[in-house]
Amino acid sequence: MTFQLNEILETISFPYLNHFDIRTVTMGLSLRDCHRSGDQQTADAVYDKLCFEAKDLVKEVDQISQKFNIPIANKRMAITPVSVLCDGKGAQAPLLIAHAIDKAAKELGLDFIGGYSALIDKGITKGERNLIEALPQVLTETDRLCSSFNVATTRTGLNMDAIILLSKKILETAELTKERDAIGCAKLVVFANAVEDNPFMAGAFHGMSMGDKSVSVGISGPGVVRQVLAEAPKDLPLQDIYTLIKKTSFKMTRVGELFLTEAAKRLQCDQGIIDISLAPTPTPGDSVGEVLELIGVDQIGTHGTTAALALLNDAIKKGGTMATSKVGGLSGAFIPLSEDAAMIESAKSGTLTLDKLEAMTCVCSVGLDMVAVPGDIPLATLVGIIADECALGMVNNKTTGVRIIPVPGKTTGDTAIFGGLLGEAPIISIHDKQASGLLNRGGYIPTPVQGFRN
Amino acid sequence: MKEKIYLTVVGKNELGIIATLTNSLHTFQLSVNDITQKILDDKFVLFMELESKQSMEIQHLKEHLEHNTKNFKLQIMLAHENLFNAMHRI
Repeated sequence: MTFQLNEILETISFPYLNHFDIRTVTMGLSLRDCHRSGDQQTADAVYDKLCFEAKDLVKEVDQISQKFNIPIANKRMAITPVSVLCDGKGAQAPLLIAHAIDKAAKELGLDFIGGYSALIDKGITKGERNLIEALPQVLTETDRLCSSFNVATTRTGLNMDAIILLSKKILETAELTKERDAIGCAKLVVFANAVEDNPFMAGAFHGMSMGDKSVSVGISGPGVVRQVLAEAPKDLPLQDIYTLIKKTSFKMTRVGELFLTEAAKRLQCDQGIIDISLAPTPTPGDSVGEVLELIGVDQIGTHGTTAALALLNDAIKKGGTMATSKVGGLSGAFIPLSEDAAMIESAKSGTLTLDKLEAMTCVCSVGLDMVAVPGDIPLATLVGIIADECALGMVNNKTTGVRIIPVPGKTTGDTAIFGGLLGEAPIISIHDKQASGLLNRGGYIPTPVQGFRN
Repeated sequence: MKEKIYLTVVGKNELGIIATLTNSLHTFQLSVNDITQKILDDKFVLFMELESKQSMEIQHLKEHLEHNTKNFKLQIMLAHENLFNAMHRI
């Protein structure tokens, strides 16, 4: 046989025993040619283009999954930030376009389309303001549309006015979707240094520097890494643990590259990127928290967690970058609180706090993700949490994001239930003291010295 | 174009499993390049390297195999050779 039996068994064990999947195949599509004279005409043009360009996406992706016997969890699209289509249009344009996108997603059988977005780290145009104004209604009335905003970059600084505006909209969205534990907020990310080729939700959009159409792949697989570490001796030095993770990441990324090549060929579009992110799911065993505990902390969130996460994140990146030249997106380890069984357990027991989560985001691939907070959180506190996280990204020249869910009627110790891949989140404790001054002053934080690299 | 497909079958050992499987393979005009079969802890375990003369939809084969073996308690896994190449060969 061309392959050894142990090689065949290892390959088969990835999906069957250790929950390995291709988390998403995401088609990126430019909508910059969808400008029309009227609001409704523009929305119609968006709908028509989506339905035409992505008509075979689900069918082809399903066939790839069957050919290689690896599940593909989600079929998604990332589109040009919708704000680009709203400049020069009426106040109704964002809502009309949002409904057109949601309708297309449902008809195409897509799980999500990301791109109700705007890049507002330096300032906000009239069209972008209209887009933000409609945000709570859009997140309430649509099901499959995801939204993201870039409010800070290392090159431009941090737009506090934008953070304040978005914080107000997050609270409005929470109130509008309170019957479902504020699930509208789970479809919104506020970024620093947003990347243009991220295939993961809720932060995916098709950046302004991208071409007409491309396809990207997001790999997951904390379960595979967990299994490898579970079989490793308890006294194996960290550098050897690092090597084990690196080798595993290499193999997973090679599978991702295979899927990317096949998808681009079948869908007749450019090869985008492979995002090698360990993305947990609520399924037992598919947890980044458990991986960190196997590396060496009694419970995720206790002292040592940041160091363990730094090791994990870097080993994943190194294995992936050796496996393919197309690494992009966010790539690293995700720590979405509501989607990871070990993290949920730790937050419930009080070990994992918001402050520790923030520290962990300094070394992982994204930020405060799927964090549920009390519904009566003061605006100034919400502004402070988002500003802190974005400042981390801005100064450290990395992507950070905030997906925060104030759950009306619930407080610390309660649990918000979202269901499906989004899981459930214990409401995490916040500090009593507020960032009132940041809220009252507004304005912006200028470019940090790290941004002057010319 | 010739393609290799790897078949793995695991399940309860009963008479006639291989006969049933190869019946499906014949229907799809697949040749068996290699076969390894063992009984491990009363479990039937089989690996096969199959070769088709032209490109084929693996899903159709899987459905056929599952339909034909529905009276057995088996788990059938099929994957194209490129998957194994990607993971184990540089």
